[in-house]
Amino acid sequence: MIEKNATSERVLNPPSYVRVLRTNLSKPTTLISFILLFFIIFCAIFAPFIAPTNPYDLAIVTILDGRLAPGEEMLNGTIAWLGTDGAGRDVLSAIIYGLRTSLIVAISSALIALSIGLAVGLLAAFYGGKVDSFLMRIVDIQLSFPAILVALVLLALLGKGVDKVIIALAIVQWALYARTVRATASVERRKEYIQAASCFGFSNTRIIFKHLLPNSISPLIVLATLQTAHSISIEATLSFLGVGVPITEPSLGSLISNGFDFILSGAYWITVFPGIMLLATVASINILGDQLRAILNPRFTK
Amino acid sequence: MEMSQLLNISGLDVSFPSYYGSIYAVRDVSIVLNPGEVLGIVGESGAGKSTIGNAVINLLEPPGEITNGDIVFQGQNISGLDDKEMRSIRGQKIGMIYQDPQTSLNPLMTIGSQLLETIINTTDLIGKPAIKKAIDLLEAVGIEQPELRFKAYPHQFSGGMRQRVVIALALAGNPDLIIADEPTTALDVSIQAQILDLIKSLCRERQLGVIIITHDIGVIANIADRVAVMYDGSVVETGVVHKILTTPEHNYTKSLIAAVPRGDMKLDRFSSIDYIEGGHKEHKRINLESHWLGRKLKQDSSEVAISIEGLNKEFIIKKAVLPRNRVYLKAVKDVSFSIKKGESFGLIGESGSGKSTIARLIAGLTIVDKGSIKVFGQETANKGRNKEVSSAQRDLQIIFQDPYSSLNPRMRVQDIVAEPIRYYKTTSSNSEVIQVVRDLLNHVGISTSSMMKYPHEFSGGQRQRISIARALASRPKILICDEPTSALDVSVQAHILNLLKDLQDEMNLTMLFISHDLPVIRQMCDRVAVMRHGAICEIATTNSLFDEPKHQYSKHLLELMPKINF
Repeated sequence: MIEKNATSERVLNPPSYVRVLRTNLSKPTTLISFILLFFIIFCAIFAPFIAPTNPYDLAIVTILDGRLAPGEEMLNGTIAWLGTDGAGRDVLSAIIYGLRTSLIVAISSALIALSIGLAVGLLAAFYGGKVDSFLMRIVDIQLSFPAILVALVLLALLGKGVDKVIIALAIVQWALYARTVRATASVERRKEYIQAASCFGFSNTRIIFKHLLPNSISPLIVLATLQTAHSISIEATLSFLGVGVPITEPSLGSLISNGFDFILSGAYWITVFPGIMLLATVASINILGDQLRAILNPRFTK
Repeated sequence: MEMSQLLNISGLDVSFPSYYGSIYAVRDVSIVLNPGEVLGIVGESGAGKSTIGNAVINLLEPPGEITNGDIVFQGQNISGLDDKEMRSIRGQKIGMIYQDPQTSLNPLMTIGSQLLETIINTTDLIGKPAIKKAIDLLEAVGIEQPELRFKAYPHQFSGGMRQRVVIALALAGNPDLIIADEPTTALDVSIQAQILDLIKSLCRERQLGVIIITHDIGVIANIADRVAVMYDGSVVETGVVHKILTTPEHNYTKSLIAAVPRGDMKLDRFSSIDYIEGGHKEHKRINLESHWLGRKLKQDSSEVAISIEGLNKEFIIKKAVLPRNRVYLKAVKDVSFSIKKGESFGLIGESGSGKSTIARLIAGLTIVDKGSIKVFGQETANKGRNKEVSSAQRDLQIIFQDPYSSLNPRMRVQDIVAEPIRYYKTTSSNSEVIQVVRDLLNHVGISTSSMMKYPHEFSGGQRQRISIARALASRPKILICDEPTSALDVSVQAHILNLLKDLQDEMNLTMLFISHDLPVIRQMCDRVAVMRHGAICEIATTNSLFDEPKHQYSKHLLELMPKINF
């Protein structure tokens, strides 16, 4: 038997972060999406400091500012760069705050779904046999329903609210994480370092959390990134349909929905600008996720 | 320079530019080959032998490139040729045989069509004459009923037959030079002999030049006329095979030959292998009385370490709802043997004989169907009920075969070795744990400065050392070695086997050593059991097995053992 020559892989390829930066900064598409993503996250975090106005402060908003075209001045002197909507809220500020809601919902639901999916997948992979079959059939059943349908039903039951949307999205997504982690964990389970750990007599809990988990989690990082993008668009759909986040904390989807009524009368900016922002957000997260997937490809990992 | 020389490589340098700087895979290599001659290039992993083969035919894996030197083939310098000109040489003048017959053939094409493709592209034949030539080639490489096999697919052939087809493909263009890169490594010992004979006879008949690249000195002794020994990218010694094997001059060649396990007598240790790994430090013996490793909770008085009675294990290979339709594979059939305390017991058999299954049954990793396993008198067979691992079970540790998957890739080496100590709290404080771990790692040959590294930063041999240190960390009395050196180079194997011998000596360990390699068993074990298809054929002391085998199968195995004339 020949000893695998791992030196070539190790030495010829630069470390991961260099590769990430190199690939992303070289092509125009990825460069733009990288910059865009940083900008979006920055805006979402520092929304109160960046947005020109607070569109949900009922003391400031007045309907006399309604439907101003982009670039026109509002009553209190600030310029509405992207125009205002029907109720007089500055569209630019609304977008910035809306991004924040969308991202919070997406990231929280992704994290919760990841935790649930990770637990289920690891248990299924470790114990195998009947446990594995049972859990995976539940996953299959869950995945056979369309995501929006399940979300609609859940939200009809749970009612409106940001937290309810997060729960609904988490329930919709966990099965995908479970299936992915179970595949990787099954392979790792058969490897000899897990068997060695059983030889030492370590408890099953310890083996699952200390040995199996850290080695099964890398595909989930890519999945979580891509699923975040997917959640944003599901949540936008739900809000557009009116069952998502409440009016007081709108997300990009609600903004699009609200502006929909005005398209035909000429005030296109109320729908189009949030729509473009949604597109840009989802696209840049997807592109980043794709890059991550290519870089974290098992060919290059330890 | 004579015009009759087939291939003359002079001053070849091959480098791989990388983020960290250029790496020289091949440094200043000069090799000469004449027609009708078999030249062997021998060396261990990373020596650069395959790189030379790829450089000649200009198929270096990017970003590799030839930075210096000339390759003169039949009077023409081919090192600087571009791809288009090389294409007329590849196949027609130089043929290549790679290691893995499984992946060398296109699984979607019949072997007939693959042969025809090569023949049509490299010679002027088309149509019926091409088919006739293909059939002649198949016959020449020893495939029976070539007209019928012509329409068969690669998966319908066995490994040895596939390699013959690959050889036929290499010969299809009537080349003058054949480069064979580890052609028999993936094959069984018996098939290996046939393929090597085939290559040798073809070489003599057609007056071809053959370069055979291998890590196995047995293959060189069998087939090569001259040999070039490579180490770390350079040729350290070259000459006629018989002379090099009997009177090697360079220290590396001496180490390499000394590291090959001898099948004719048992040596105390593998000696004079110090050239490799930059000189191994003297192994310091530990004093069991005062060392942490000697502190045990209770002493065992029983003389028998492991006793196995009527062990049985089946695996389901075809599941079905009705029990009578299920198909079982009897992996272990009624196996019984016992190992005395302090003894070194060997288990030998070919792949699929059940030896690894027995190791896992004894360690409690697999559920036992029937039978009993007693470790120091205590019954430890895992019959499926989820019970706590008994302390007797912990006295038994396994060293696994694959060094690349037996260490947790996300844990530092220090933590990996310390884990059993910390879990069972066998020391009084954390600083003592670190001290013990450092001690253990030094004892197996890993330096203190590497303690905080991750497993992927170590070579295969070093990883096995770390596995051994980890096994020792739970203070076992019995060590099961499941083919611990099969995945390692021959010199690294010698070091690891020396280490195991030393450890067994110092700590009076009982050892169950599993292998498919007879010479290794000879060196390591006192008694041996020969297994075949799950059952034991013969149990005997090593000397009596090798001198007077009683069972038919044992005799068969001994015949297949490669012999190197010293």
